[in-house]
Amino acid sequence: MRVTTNTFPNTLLNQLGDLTRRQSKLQDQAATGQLVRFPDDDPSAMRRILDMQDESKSVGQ
Amino acid sequence: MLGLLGALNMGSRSLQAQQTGIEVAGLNLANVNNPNYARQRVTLETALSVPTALGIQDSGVTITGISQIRDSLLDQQITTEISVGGYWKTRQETLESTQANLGQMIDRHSSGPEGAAAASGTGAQQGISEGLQDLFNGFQSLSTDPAALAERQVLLQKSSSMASKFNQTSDRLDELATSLDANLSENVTEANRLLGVIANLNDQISTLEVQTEGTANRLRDIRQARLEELADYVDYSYSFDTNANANITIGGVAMVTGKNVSDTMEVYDAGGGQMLVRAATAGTALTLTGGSIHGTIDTRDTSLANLRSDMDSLAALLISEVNTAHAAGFSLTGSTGANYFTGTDSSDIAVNTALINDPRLIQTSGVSGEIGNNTVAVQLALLANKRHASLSSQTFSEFYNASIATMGQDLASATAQVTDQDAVQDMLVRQRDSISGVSLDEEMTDLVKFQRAFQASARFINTVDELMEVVISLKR
Repeated sequence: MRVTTNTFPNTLLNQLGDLTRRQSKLQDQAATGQLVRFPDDDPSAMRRILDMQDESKSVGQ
Repeated sequence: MLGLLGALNMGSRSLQAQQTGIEVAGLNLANVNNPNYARQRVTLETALSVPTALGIQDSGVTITGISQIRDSLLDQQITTEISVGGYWKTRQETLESTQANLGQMIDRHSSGPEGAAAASGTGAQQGISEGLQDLFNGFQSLSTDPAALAERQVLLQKSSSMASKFNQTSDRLDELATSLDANLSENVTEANRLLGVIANLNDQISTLEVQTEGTANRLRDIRQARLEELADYVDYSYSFDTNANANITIGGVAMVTGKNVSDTMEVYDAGGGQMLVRAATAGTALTLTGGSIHGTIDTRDTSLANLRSDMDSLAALLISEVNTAHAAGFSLTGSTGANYFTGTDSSDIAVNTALINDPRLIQTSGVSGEIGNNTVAVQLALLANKRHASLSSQTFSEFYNASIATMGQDLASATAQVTDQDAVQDMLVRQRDSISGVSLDEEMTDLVKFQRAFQASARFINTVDELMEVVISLKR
């Protein structure tokens, strides 16, 4: 493949964007101490957590 | 034998050719960071042959044109992928706002047993899930001491806060739907503008290319950029006709034919306030599959509409179930038959104001006059665990949680699709760069090449000049 002047900067930019996204996700997890915080973090886990929270609250009552 | 004058001509044509080569290299270098630019090349050919006494002799070099290097198949693939990407990006953005609007999140520090007490004091932001649980816990507390006014106050306060959570969510989802409709018409306007721009560029390109030799490189670059902009809004197919016009078809309706915009898109009400897109002149509804316009419509009418109807059926059933149980009971004053909730769905659910004004009117007793009786309060508390056929045999909380999980799933898969799509687009753009992109190294070597050839050609002219001087000085 012919490599042009902007091939490298574009690849670098995409890679940096990708890494920053992942890093921010990990930082969120480290800051909150939670793997699941919003529904899209893990939808099925979110559902089970909410169900269990409800159950624990009614038991706590 | 061209003769000395012929040789001089050959030299000057060579100078022109090398100079054009340098100019094109300069042009490429100037546009190295222009994302819409496709690199250009001078095409050189041997100049006209002339018959001489020695046979046919070629008379130097001639420039046949300056052409741009593009792969139209790749360009077409890129526009298709941009449409797919536009769809998923819009879907992701919309669902992200939906998730934010719901305000349903897990905060381990306030929901744990040790954190619950702290959180209830600080008024931590919580969603409908917690509201529902608070409501049923309130009924439960009341059943242990049905005559206590304090418990009644707490219950009313918790019920009101749950009801207002439903109202808020409903309002926010409404606002989101309204802003999506506004986005939709903005996008359609912008897409129509681009259709006009592309038709105009078609006109300019075909006019220019008929008048002069070669291709209108600059205009073609601009047109390709506009085509890609349009792809972000809507998916379309395009093909080039013999006059190099890009003819655009959206959803089977021809929109740009040659230099004319043959049809445009418009937003219309398909009934019940559902805004869809149709062809303005042909009047046919457009079936779209990509682009942000389709992303907006699709997300609004599937994920968002489902969530909305889930919230409404949840609120409606909650109102009717609680009211049925509550109406059969007797209050501290002996009154009966009052509703606990007013309203019909999530937009207007509220606690009966008569009860808020006088908490004694909450009907917890199963027997008229027995204020210590808790039969109805127990029934109300038990609703928390009742599975309802209309909620797919789930309890109120489970149904809500499942609905949230579905929305979360939609968002998670949209996010995954956006990432995948980015990768696909990146690869295609890299591929295109490898064909059309400017390489500094190549241009620098071209500069050297053409510069040296220019110098040599000048030297050639100089030599011919000296020869002529010799000829002229013969007569002296």
